Amino acid sequence: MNKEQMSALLDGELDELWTARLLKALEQDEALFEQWEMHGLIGDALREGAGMSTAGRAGARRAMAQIATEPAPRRERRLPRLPAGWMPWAIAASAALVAFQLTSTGLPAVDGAMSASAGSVRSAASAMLASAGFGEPAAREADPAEMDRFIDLHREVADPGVQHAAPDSVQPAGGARGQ
Amino acid sequence: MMGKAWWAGVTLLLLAASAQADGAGRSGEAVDWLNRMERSAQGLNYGGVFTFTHDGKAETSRILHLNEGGGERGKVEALDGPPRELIRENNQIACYLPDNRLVKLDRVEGRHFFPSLLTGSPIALREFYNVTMAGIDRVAGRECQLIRMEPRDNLRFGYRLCADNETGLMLRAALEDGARGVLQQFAFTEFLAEATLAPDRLRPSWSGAGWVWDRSGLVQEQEVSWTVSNPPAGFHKVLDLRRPADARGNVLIQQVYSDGIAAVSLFIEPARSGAGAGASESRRGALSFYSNRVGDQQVTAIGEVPPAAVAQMVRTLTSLKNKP
Repeated sequence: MNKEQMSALLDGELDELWTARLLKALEQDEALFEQWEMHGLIGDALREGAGMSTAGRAGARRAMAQIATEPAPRRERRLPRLPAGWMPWAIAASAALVAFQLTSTGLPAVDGAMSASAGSVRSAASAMLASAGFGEPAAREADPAEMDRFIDLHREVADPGVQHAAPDSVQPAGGARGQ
Repeated sequence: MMGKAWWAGVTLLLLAASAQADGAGRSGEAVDWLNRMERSAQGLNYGGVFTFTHDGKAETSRILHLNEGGGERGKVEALDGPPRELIRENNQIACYLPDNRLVKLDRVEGRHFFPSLLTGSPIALREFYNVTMAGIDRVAGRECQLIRMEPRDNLRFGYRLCADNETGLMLRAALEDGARGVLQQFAFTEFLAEATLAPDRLRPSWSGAGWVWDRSGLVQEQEVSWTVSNPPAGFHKVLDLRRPADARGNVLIQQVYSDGIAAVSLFIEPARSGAGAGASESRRGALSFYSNRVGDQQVTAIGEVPPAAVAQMVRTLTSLKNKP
């Protein structure tokens, strides 16, 4: 199953035959199921939009791109097998849980029914979304005076110009007089 | 009919392969120019005047550089604002501040001065920037080769560099953002490549007699207790400094991260009680600023990168002390 098919399945855009085929594939392939679940999680985050910063959306897109290129996670423990007819319900329940967690808390919690590897995938997703600022309250405007202080210190060592080699804020830290 | 289609296919393939090879070759040529720029900045004798424009301001400096038997000597003099001169002898620098009757002594390690720009290998930069030849321009009355560095992600800005055709020295370095244009720029307004340079021209304008000679310098942090677990791709730590934060003996840790050309400083200090809670952010010219609490520390990142990059560095800062 490729990324486009995952998106189409999540969006309910496939006909009955393809839906049944892909659900069967998900049922039989645990790693694929984990990828699909992750895809849905981040897709929901992207669609959610409101409350997510530009950096957050960019981070979620990067996470999706990373998932598309990464090999499937290593299987550490088999999921309990479900009867064939149960899988769509399990998927629907999982998606509903993810959607609820995203809208209510901004960050997904770990689903106890997931395998250890699925948990690690979800933790990785949480870390990626957190590093991109998802779920974080909007930042306030910084104090210009505070910013000046750090600009001086940054430019003293990181900018290749003389004017900042010893900024105005730098005071003598002691030393010998004379020479 | 079949034969014609086959030949057309082969021709198209050859054309595509040729275009790809030419692109790779041009990129290789651009990286060669980056190498040449750095070698020239360190190895040649030259003098000139350059301006640094940023945030609607322009600062002008005069530079003299001498390579003597492999050792570097230099003098950079501020031509506007408070007088100050920076004298370099290999990896030692002395900054003369006559208004303060102060000479600050320090070491060069991990720092660079225009027209040197890179802190990493030019070839490694290709992983994070699309480096291409971009035609010919003129700077300070000299013909120069334009090189473009377009970022491969949205966590760094692009560069447009111009290297002197004759000497390879960088004559202009512009930092640019696709949406906002040029954000800041170093550029020579006068440039003279000199075969010889009398060493006495590199002497400071003041003797410094009776002034304070501050040898405290910037202190390398010995105990590395913080690390950024997920910096933007290619950024690695190039400096780890310890500065006095206040009169009570608190310490301000400054870590500098670079992808080989762009730099971000990360400052870590004890959070002050009563300080505004939550994250704060701002932009000024090319600089992005982001600050937030991490545990009982106030962490601030600032650098010539987009806001998402500085925020990512603060959000993924991890204390090594809590690890088993």
